[in-house]
Amino acid sequence: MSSVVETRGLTMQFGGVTAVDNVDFRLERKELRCLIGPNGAGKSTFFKCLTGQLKPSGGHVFIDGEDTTGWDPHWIARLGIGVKTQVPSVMDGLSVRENIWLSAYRTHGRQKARRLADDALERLGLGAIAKSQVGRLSHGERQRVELGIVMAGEPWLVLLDEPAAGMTAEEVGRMAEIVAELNREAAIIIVEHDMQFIRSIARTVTVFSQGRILIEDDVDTVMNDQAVRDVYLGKKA
Amino acid sequence: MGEFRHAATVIAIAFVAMLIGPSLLDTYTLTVLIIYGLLALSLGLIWGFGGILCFGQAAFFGLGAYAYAIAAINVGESTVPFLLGIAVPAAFAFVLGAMMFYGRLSDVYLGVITLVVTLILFKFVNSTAGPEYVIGTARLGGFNGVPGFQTLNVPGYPNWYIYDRSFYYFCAVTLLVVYALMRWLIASPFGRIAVAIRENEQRVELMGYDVRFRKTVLFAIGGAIAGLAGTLFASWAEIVTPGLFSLAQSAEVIVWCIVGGLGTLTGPVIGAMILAFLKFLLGQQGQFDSTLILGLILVLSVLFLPRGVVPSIDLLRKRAGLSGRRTAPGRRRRRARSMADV
Amino acid sequence: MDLALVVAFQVIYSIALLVLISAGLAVVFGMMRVINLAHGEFMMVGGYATIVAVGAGVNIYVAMLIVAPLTVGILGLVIERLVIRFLYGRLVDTMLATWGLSLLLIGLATLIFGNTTTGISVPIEGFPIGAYQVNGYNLFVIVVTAVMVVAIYAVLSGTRWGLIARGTMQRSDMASALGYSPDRIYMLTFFAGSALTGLAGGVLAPLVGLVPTSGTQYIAKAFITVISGGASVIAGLLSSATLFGLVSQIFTFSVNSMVGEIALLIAAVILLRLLPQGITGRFFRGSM
Repeated sequence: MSSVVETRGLTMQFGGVTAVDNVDFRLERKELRCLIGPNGAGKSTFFKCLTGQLKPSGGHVFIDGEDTTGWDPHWIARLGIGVKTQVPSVMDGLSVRENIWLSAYRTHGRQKARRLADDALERLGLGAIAKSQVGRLSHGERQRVELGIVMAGEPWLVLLDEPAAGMTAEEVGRMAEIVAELNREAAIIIVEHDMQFIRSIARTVTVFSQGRILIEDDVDTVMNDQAVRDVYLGKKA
Repeated sequence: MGEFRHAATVIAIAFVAMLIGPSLLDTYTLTVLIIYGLLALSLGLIWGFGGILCFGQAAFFGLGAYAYAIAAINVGESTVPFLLGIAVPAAFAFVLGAMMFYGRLSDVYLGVITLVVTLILFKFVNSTAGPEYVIGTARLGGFNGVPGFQTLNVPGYPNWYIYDRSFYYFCAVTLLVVYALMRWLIASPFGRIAVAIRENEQRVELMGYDVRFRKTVLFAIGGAIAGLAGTLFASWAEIVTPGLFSLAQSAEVIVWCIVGGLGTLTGPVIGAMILAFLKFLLGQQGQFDSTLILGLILVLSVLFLPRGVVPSIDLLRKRAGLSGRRTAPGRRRRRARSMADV
Repeated sequence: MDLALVVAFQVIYSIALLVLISAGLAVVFGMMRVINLAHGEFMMVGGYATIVAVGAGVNIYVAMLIVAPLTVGILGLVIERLVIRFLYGRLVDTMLATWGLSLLLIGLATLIFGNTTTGISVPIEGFPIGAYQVNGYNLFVIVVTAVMVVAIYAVLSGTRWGLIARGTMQRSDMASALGYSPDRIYMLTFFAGSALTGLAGGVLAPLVGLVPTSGTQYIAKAFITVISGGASVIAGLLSSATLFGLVSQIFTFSVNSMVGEIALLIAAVILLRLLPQGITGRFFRGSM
């Protein structure tokens, strides 16, 4: 079984609203996939079903062949998955170093965790502010700290929810490099709005619309597809 | 190493204070101030570092005191009762915590449940005056409480009582040891993870830590320390009454922590000692009701000193350019949390 | 048959009692997300206001139904201006500050009235159902509660102020964009909630021997009734009061009132464990 993530008939309903509607999805080992779609298309809900933050109302999620449907987030994370959420989710009261170290410490011992943390700090250019409290940092820096948390866990599957949101053009470029580097070791799913960013990193793109997968193809085909344009411009219902 | 030096300084100062204390005040009063300090420390740990606001810390305090008293009547020698006085509330806190944290209750509901559980205990113990409520040879005694049990003795020698000045030193050293242990705990990975959970529960969960279990364990540690305080209190007062479980007692612990300052360990202890001493003085003069002053202090400190005394002093020192490393994000956190809840 | 009637009456009375003591808290929590831990002391003040007014020669019904709500309403207004308004949106801080207020009020009451029990006599005679004697004043409590609930509903759904208030609670930014001052709405809502609490304190004054610490016996029950009910003011209040009233009366009849009280508290713990958002967080969603 070579696919690392697979969903079969995944459905998520909130009251009367079906946010994710019977989605079949596959991700291969070391693949990089972007999920795009207009607001309310169900990308983020789909994402949260994968991470365990939401319990799907129907269907199944398989991660590395294991049926993880309905698992708690920490059990899913323990499979070796790094998650970055939409709003930078970091521990404001702790230092940059502690944030990253804690992530490495869960899977590795004290010594190795220290090395992994140092490594992540260096790769992300956070060395100079390692001892600062995260709450005092800028938005872009906090984004990087969260990436450091993801990186330090040495994941083989990375889920990123809008990593480029609110970043400057320069920071987006740097983010693309980091993602490419992570991709050497791990399969990656990215939920993203920023087309520039997507073009710079993606090969295959999955487009969500109204809770379903509209199209799944390589990035250029998708960008030129009429249906996709309609969805984004709101022509079609 | 700054952390270590800070802790060592605090312990050294406290040790000196312990030695000169008896020359300023009688040891009987000093002892109960220390016991209250220990109780405040228990809430300061779980609230200030774990973000768990417990409205019923008195429940564990009372449970420890009762467990000790009842066991002491049955056993007659104080070593086993002493251990039970810690173990029973710890186990109770563990079960209660598991129920709450695995149910993913938010702050407010946590407050309600701890408050309600305290009330249940209070009402139950209060209603056990009848002769049918007996554990071993000990009668629960209802609102009259349980008197006449063996107070603390040197382990193995039931006739060698630890009392008066030696009891004072025993309590003071206990407080110092617990303080040192908690400093170590907070600096350890377990403590760092607890603080991380306080800061961002979801993130810690996505790292793969079992947040619910860790919160439960921290809550149980808090219960154990409160129980230890209750055990010492029983030995000090030589009687345990349902008043130990009262909401007023719970309220007082919270006031101590707020006034002393959250996010530090010294804050709650100092807050408890100062306020309990103040209450003692007010009780002596009889002019004003001590409840009135206590209430006023609580309102004013929430409005004007939300960080508490100790962190505010730290902040002042830092602003003045002196050395001071500790920071307490208590205020901002409390605000952020309360917005998100309900 | 008579016994069944008496039991039913007793159950309805205990439900009404829960609704009565919780209504003020429910309005303030449901609409403003403020938990007023001085709620019990507000009731205590209402009780003292009634007793003092009766002592001064005021008709007892005027004292209970007008003097007490007004006194406590004004007290609430003052407290809102001085303390609560600085703490909106900080739930835990409000809880702590109002807890401080409750201690403060107990202290003040002790200072003024002393630590002794005062009371007034019940103004309504009992009446018989078959062979059983029923407390007539309990019927009065039920009627007052029913009228109060209907009035709250009418105000919230039928009046301009009710509409503005509900709008403000949902989107205070929109309300202020429409030209209504959220600050004033909050102030008025807190006044209304406090007045309801004063009413409860006044109506209950003849039933209890009042001491400065009387409030503490209500706060826990009111607190759990409101929290268990969830966010909807009326539906939440009625559903949780019914549940808890039933549970406590069943155990009171089959064992004793002590067990009844404990059963109520345990029911609350279990309920919150199963429905962490309260009853109306799960059922009756979107109701008032």
